[in-house]
Amino acid sequence: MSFDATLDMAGRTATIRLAGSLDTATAPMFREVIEQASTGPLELLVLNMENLSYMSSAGLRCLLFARQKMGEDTRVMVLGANPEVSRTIRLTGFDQSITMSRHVAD
Amino acid sequence: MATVRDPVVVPGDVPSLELVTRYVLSVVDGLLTPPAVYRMRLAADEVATNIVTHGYAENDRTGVLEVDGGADGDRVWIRFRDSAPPFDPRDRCHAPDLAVPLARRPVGGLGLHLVFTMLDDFEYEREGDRNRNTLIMRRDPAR
Repeated sequence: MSFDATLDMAGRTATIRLAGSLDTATAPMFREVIEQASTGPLELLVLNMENLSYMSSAGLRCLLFARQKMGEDTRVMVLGANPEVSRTIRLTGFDQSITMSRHVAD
Repeated sequence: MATVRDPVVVPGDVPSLELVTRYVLSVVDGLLTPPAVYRMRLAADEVATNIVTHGYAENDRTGVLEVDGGADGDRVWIRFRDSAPPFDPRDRCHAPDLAVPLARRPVGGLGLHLVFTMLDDFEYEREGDRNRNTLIMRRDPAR
């Protein structure tokens, strides 16, 4: 199962694009990219999940890590998650601390 | 009619989880709707991950994970056997406290919460010196 996480920084916005399967084996790679993104002050962290096909609880723990790593002033947004990934995030109540957006234009 | 797939036996470690997922998908693809396939894959991944990371690694144990699966009437099932210390996931499942903000949330328990939310049924049995976990989805087109 392949996985990829790439980071783009633009001013005070960091965007991490995720692709493939986010699970126990691939989560450490995502955590590393979250660490890189958290080095400067951020207003917004966008997690673009349009190409993410699968996410287990290992991925949820990464979201928790991202939320805890970023200061309270940083908004964390999940973008374009598929219905199954979205459901997993909502089931655990993570959508109360993370903005969920279906489309890039939202 | 009942169908049972030949079991696979893999080392009880993280790199083997991908093999487990491939096996699970090969059993349930075509038997369940795509959303139900996803739910079974996720539940199986969480159970297998729990066995290799908590059952074996955290107890300084090594062992194998035996997986089989099949269909019987409206039941589609995946079964795991491992030789880690006795562990009944049903005793450890509690829903996360949704009232606690994410920044202060403990990380444990999420995987098992997903398992019981995703599946239609779950069975645990201690079988000699092995744990046996059976994950069940019902073939119901209405779901």
